[in-house]
Amino acid sequence: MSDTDERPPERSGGKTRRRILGTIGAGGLATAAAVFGRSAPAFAGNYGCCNLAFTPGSSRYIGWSSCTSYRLCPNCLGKYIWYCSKSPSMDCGCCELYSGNYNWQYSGATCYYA
Amino acid sequence: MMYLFGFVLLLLTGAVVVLFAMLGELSSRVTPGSGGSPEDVRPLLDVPVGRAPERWPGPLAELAGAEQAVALVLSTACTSCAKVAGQLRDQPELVAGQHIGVVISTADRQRGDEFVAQHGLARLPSYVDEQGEWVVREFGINTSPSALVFQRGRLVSAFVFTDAAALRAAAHPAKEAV
Repeated sequence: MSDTDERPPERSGGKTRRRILGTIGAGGLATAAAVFGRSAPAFAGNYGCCNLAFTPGSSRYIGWSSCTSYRLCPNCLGKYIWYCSKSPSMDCGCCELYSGNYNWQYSGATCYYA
Repeated sequence: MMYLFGFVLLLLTGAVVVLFAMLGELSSRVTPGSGGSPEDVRPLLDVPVGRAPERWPGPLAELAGAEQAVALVLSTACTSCAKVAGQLRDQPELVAGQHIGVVISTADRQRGDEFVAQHGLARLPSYVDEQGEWVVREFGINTSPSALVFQRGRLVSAFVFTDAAALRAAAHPAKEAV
């Protein structure tokens, strides 16, 4: 092989081919996202098996201990505490504090292995 | 040659994506809980076996005199309860020929009524139990989905379950004399 061999100059269609392949690849990724992006119907609830008014991340989600002890809502009229079975091996406790007309004020939950 | 290799690689990648997509669609089309499994049912141990409630709510009165009856305890705060309610609605064969009633524990009656309407439970004897007051007072039950099995109005066993079909299979053998 000669030391003076050089790579042939890139033909002008090279960029076009790369663009086409890139478009095909992007389209494939978008298709995959569309197919796998759909979530199957789930019954996990927004915290374990609890269907809470306020989820973790909300300022009104105060956690199980605070919810069950009323600590952050001295003016709440009442609380609703119930336990649910998420799976054969896991249960959850669900807590809601409410004011008049059963307006939810705070939520809390905990999950544990049964 | 490189382009051919790239094209073949792209084709293979697409085939794998399509394969997994088909598997995912197949999985999502399988009815959840079809048949259930024994692990979906757990006995509740700390229940007053042999107890007859002091008072049966009006909608559940027919359970009191039945040779064998089941009261399903659901809650509006429980999404696994929504799943079970959906099974009762979509698979009427699960309750056919059975004396089955539904107790809906809830914080307030409005939410309970909405739960009944949303899940088509009105066709079954159903009782909206505010604060779960009846089931807690009579049986100490504050967990859902749960099932109370009665014989001639007396509690003989109780279960926590996550699948109605599995519960049906587990509850039938409960024929202990009180």
